[in-house]
Amino acid sequence: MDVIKKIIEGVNNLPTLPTVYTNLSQAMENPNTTKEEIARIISADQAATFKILKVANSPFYGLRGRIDTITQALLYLGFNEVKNIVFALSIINAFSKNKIFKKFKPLDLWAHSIGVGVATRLIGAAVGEKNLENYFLAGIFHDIGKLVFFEYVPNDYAKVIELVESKKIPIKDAELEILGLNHARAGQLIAEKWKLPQSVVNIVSSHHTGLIGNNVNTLLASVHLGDIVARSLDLGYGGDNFIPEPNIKVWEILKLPKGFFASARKKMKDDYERLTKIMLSE
Amino acid sequence: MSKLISVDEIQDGMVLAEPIQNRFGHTLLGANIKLEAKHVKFLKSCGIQTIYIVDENENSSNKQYDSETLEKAKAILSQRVTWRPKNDYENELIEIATQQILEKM
Repeated sequence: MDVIKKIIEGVNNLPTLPTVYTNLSQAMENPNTTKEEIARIISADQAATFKILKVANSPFYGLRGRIDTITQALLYLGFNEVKNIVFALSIINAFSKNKIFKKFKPLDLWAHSIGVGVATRLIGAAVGEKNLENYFLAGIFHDIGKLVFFEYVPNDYAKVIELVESKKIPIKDAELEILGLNHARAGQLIAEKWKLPQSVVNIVSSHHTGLIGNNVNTLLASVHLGDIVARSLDLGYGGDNFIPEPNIKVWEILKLPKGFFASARKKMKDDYERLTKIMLSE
Repeated sequence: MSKLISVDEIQDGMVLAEPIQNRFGHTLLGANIKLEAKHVKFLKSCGIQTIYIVDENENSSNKQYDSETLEKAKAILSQRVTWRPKNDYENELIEIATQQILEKM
């Protein structure tokens, strides 16, 4: 199992995340850190600050007022949401976006992931979830396993992509056939390595089924559905053209209003356009 | 609801959907301003390339398609959706997917 070995080695030698994120994480774990200090840590990275403010001001968060400073962003979005945005930006920049692949490139994957992030959060809001802070990140992160493949076994992944084209099968099946594991499993390895919250680890490992064991939780159901919606609306490209069948249980967990998809469609596409522009630009 | 357009597409009568700000957060043009040709030069000189205008054509999604186009869209859809909808929600999903295919054609 050469491939799996390469992947595990790669995960163990992951690129270090940018300073701003590691400093921020540490500061937030310390109960004595003041919000001024947190604002200062983030503001020290101008490029990150600029992007965070743009994200915070996008209609996605529904904040009509101007967010001019990191302190305001922390106030209106909450510490965890801001930390998650910093994290998302960090990982997007940690991996090479411009690897040359035919048909399916890391940039396509990021666009798809942001699309799923948008859809997931809108679904969560629509079902009345009070705590949405991990929804956007969970959506962005759900397919991180594919990035592991792009980064550490690119030649094998190129074969996977070719198999998708020739046999017209979902990418997760092609991954299993050629690599011996799919991106859900690879993603789980990386999520555990980075010590992400268990809820996010579960998303990565189980977003295809939408279930952990026999239990459905709202966040997982939202990502499961968000992935399907993002594919339906062609928000980025996840490696194949399939629109998977939703797990029937998600409709019991997610009490969405009738007509939700039709009415949310435009907002999802608009938010997706804006956020990809902000988050994927150099 | 707003629509993203390039600054070159600005026509008299369009209404700005959101305030336009420069990177320092200063408002260059406020929301709901009725746009005119004179704004194009100004915005370009500030380096603004795209703006959001109020989209009057909410009903553009109710455009009628001929049966041949619809058949083509259905064929494309059947490659991507290999299952049958079991409830109203899933019907809605199929509808938005179909709409997306039609818009791309």
